[in-house]
Amino acid sequence: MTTHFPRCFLLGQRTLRPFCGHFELQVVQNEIAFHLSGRIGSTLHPEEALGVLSQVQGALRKAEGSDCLSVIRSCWENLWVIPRKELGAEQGRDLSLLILAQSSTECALSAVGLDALWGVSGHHVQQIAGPTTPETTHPGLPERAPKALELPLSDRRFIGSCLGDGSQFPGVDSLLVAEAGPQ
Amino acid sequence: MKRLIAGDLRGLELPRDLGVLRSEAEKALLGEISLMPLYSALSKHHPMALGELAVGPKALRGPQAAEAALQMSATLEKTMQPKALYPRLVQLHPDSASEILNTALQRFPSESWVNNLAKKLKIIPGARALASVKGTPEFEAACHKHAHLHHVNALVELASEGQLEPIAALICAGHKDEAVHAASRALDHDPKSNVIAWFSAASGPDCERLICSLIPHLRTKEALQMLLNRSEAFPRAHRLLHTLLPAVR
Repeated sequence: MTTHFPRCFLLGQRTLRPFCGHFELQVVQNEIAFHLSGRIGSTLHPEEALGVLSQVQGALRKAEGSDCLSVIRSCWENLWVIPRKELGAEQGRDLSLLILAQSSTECALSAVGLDALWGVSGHHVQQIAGPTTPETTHPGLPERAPKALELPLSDRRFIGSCLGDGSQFPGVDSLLVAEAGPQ
Repeated sequence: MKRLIAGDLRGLELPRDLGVLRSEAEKALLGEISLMPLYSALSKHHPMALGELAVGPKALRGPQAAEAALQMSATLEKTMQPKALYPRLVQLHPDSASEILNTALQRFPSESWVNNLAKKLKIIPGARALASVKGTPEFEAACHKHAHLHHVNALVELASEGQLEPIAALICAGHKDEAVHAASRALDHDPKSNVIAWFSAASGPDCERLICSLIPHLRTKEALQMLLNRSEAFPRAHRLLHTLLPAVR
């Protein structure tokens, strides 16, 4: 089994509905643990956004594979099956998704729709991707699976900022507070 | 003596000149001249005299005096216990009770005496302002503004009439327990209310915890069923609802 459950988050927006369209999913199967954090339909009415994100999350829950890369690929394949018209007014072009898969020997990450991505370990923050990183900035659901980044095993958490939300890191302390809040 | 009203306190000897000060302030009020410069200066140099004018036995009365006293509430709280100060201000200025209560609520949102004062005055802080924008595009932003002002009761009241925006506003302002209460009231009003959508929009992944907190407050099987139908994205809450539903009559 994996030593640490991988964790990734997407930052909320500074709007009246900061997490509209946000979803997350944690799955462990075949000794692969994967965590997804995403956002779709953030400009929709909350009731519509809930319908769309439930659809996307339901599809992602069916992902499977024998290693980290195949699990990630399966996530994308399951999203392609959803008819675009069921993905809200933007038909999936507004999807931001961060997929993190980890086994006892490997860790891989794949993402679309991000302005920035950071790895956070304690108070140490490392920017992994920015607004010009092609692997993570594709706007919305891609036609082909984006290139996955293979990473060294660690207990880092990964924090993403959705496309259009800027690439300013909010600060470790505020993240720790936000993370501790729901516990 | 206009210079006193303008905040120039040179030559003033207190408490000897308190009568002069009060007389000048009364004239200013009659002439609709603002007391703010005088009150600001007294706040810095003679806070006890400010207390005398604002809330003492012969305190000044009228809307302008009330407004000026509220502006100086932080100083006045140092000369009089807040739980005595605000009721005294209401007693002096009954026409400004709503504004006085709002200030008290902003400064002491969790003190029970503020709620007691509101009950005594039969005022739900924020209710009137929120009602005036209900049904307009400004309503949602107004809910957030009033949630940050701790106008929780007004927002819960609106939720009990079927408005769901107050739920998200309460969450965003950190009043999560009150948001759950508001959601339960919304479901009492209409079991089909999609409270999960608003939980989700305001709290994201924390939505699951809010749904689980809401479950014990539900009163109808229909509400439970509607939550179950909409909670697929939140597996823990979904499982809990699925388990509970057959046991509910």
